[in-house]
Amino acid sequence: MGKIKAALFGIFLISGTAVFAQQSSVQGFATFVPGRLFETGERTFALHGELECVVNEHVSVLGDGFYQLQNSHVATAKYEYNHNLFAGLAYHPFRKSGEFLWDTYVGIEPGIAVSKLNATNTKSSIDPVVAMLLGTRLQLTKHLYVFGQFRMIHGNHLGNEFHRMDEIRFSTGLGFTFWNNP
Amino acid sequence: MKYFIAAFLTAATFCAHAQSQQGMFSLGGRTTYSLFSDDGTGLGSGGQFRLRLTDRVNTDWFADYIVINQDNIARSEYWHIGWSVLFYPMKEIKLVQPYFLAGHCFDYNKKTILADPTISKQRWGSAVQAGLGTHFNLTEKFDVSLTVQYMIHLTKELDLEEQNNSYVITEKQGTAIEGHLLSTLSLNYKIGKLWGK
Repeated sequence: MGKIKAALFGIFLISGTAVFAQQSSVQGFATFVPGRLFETGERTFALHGELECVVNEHVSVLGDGFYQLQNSHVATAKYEYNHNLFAGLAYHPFRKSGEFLWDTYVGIEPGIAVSKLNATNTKSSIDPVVAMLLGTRLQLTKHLYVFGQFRMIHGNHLGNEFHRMDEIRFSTGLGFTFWNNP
Repeated sequence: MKYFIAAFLTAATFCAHAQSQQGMFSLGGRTTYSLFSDDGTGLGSGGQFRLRLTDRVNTDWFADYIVINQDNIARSEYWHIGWSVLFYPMKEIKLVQPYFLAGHCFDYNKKTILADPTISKQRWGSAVQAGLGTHFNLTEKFDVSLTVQYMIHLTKELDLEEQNNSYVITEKQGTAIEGHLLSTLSLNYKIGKLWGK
């Protein structure tokens, strides 16, 4: 515990300012995200961008985009591409304005998947999907934070064949706070 | 766990005060499961806005896109654009706020044979829906709502028929009342009041 406190104190010294939760803010990140498809067990890899607007102490509006990158681990990946767009809300039960910001949240995001099977004579398909989120974030400075986010995606591909697109993804990295409510 | 309970109690206390909600405009997203349909079960995404007319009456304006796998043979797509009126039996705003709802929507359905996408048929129609639901008012401005409603299509349905070992899409004869049960989880944020204090 002492080491953790020392580490946090060090972060504050580096940042040069104490960081507190603001009533509202706009933030976002871009990162690479690994995932796993439940149907085949194959690993996936995507570019993930998120924009979040904290509208009050406990609620934020989220928009997420995933662009699937080629999967070098699997010779015959299930999907030639499987890109996603999500928009939804997150609930931050423990967040309080004016307090040290270590934030944990849950969220739900309806969205769509644009996907195509990795086979000849298959067609692209736009299908509804839904994602459940569990994430945590530690604000390092006024403008920087580190985060970790689990995302369970549920949906079906219905191009020329039926396939389940259920997948778990884990995003982590460094985020940027663009604007804080003074 | 104690923090979780404390947060819920705080939210409940926060939401319990009796401030008029008349004129409140809210915006949100939704995910829908379509059940008990001839087509099968399917998942949908969409959005809605709400406009509260009185403390007991709210209106819900929505758009949904639902895709159903019909027996691994066809892709059945539904677009719903419509509105519902929500009636609250209890006037007070509490953590859990149940409601009845009923409404109307425009309904578009397109069916495509998976094995041969050139075989496709579509129709426009109209539908009515009614059901039950509840808001979970997690904060003063944010709620999660769970709604279960049955939607009846007032249009001739598209049907799959097997002919000579292949499938065709036909329009059903007669005016049978058919539909589907829609279970919707929606997230809503109250933007502000358009009128009233």
